[in-house]
Amino acid sequence: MTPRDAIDLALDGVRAGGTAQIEGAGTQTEIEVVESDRLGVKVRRIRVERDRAYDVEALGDRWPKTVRQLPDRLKPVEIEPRLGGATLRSDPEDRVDDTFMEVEVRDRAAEVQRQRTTPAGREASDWSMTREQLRGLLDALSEDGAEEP
Amino acid sequence: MRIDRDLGRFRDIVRGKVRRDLRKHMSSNELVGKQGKKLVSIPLPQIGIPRLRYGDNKKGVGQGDGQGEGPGQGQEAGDAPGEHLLEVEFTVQELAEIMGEELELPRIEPKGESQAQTTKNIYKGIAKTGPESLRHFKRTYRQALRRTIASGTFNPERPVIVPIKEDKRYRTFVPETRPRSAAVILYMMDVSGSMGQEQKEIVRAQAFWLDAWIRLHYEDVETRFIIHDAAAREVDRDTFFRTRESGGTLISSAYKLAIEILEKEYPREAWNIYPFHFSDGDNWSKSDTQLCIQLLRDKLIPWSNQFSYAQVDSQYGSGQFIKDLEGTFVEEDKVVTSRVPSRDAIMDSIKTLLAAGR
Repeated sequence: MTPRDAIDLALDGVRAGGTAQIEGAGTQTEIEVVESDRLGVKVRRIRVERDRAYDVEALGDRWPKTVRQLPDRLKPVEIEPRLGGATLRSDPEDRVDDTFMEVEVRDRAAEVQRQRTTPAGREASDWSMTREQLRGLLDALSEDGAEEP
Repeated sequence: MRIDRDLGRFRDIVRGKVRRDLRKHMSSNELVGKQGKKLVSIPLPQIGIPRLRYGDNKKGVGQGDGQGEGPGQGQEAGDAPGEHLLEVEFTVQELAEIMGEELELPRIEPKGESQAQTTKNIYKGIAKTGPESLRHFKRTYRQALRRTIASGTFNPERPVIVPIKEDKRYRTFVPETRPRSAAVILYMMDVSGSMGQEQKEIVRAQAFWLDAWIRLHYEDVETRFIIHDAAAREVDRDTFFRTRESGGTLISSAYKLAIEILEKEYPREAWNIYPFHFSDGDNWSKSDTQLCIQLLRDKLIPWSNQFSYAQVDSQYGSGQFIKDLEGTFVEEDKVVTSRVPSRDAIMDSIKTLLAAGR
């Protein structure tokens, strides 16, 4: 089965919502789906876990250019090689409302969420994307731009 | 003296003006930037300068609307600003008092009996020798009167008293040992990538007013500055407000360093301890937040008069840390938290942090 088929199959299984799990080459992906159809998917959270740790300095350079499937462009906010993690968020110039995208990388895992700022703090929010965009996003998140060991 | 009364009245007007504009002054860093060693200049654009007013003299130069038609002649527009800014100088202490009155802040009560002592020279003794500048006129006169009466030369019809050298009395100081009220303020600030320039400006303004208020209540105040991202270090005041890092946020690193400094240099029996922490609330992990709570519960809170945490909103809103603190220390009076969504909230935040009078 191709990666494309694996993603489609997992999404077809959660059309009314649920968690889609996809095993890939060196990655395990978990997608919290609110709803999906043949073309698109409404997502609450995406988590990609790799066999090896991310190179956070490399992804800080690379992902703002390669992760373009989200509603806003990303900008590195915190890059912390000492802790093996990074936080990227929507570039403020791209934001059109009180929501922003956030990609948090911790060691081997990257997690994507959309946050809404409220007077009380923040709350998780859904976002929509086509299946094609989702496939591209998962590809981009599995690569940090560092050379293979 | 009349001039003193007028000056006092003028200062009252200015104080009232500053009080009315306090929110504006507190939310801008203009004032902080104008701070000299002891004095702060405050621009007051709308103070009416006293001017002469003419009375009812029958003869004199008149002024009125006049009569006539047609265009008048005038000068071209000037190129200088039309409003004269009057700058008034206040001591930081005076400003803190104005803030205290406006925010109705309770006075701080230093905790316990301080074991530290300080010796001060108090002018409450009288000596037969001393510099003329310290001569005690009343005591000198009384001594001269006593001598004159005792020698039988006092004439009630002509009561002239002339002090001689032996009559002169002088004020003199007596060393007095008192318990010293001392405080240490520990400022901790998150300088990780998520804290922007605007957030730092807000922290700077808040720190200025907090500092001023605490200094009003203690003779000795020491301030220490800690910045942190994933690691903490102690810095001087300038570095504290200027540093920006791109790293992640490990709040526990700051608390550990604060504890280390307090353990080494500030015995809690002798010092009133005020830690203030400023962050956007995006801590690295839940496990680090747990560690922070443990450090607070075991050491920082028991040692401090009050632990204050102010969470400044970033362009990505407000982080989770304040909720974690409030949830954990809901019944702990010594933990005070405050959210600062924008500059306009600085005054309310300061009121929250200082409302307990600890």
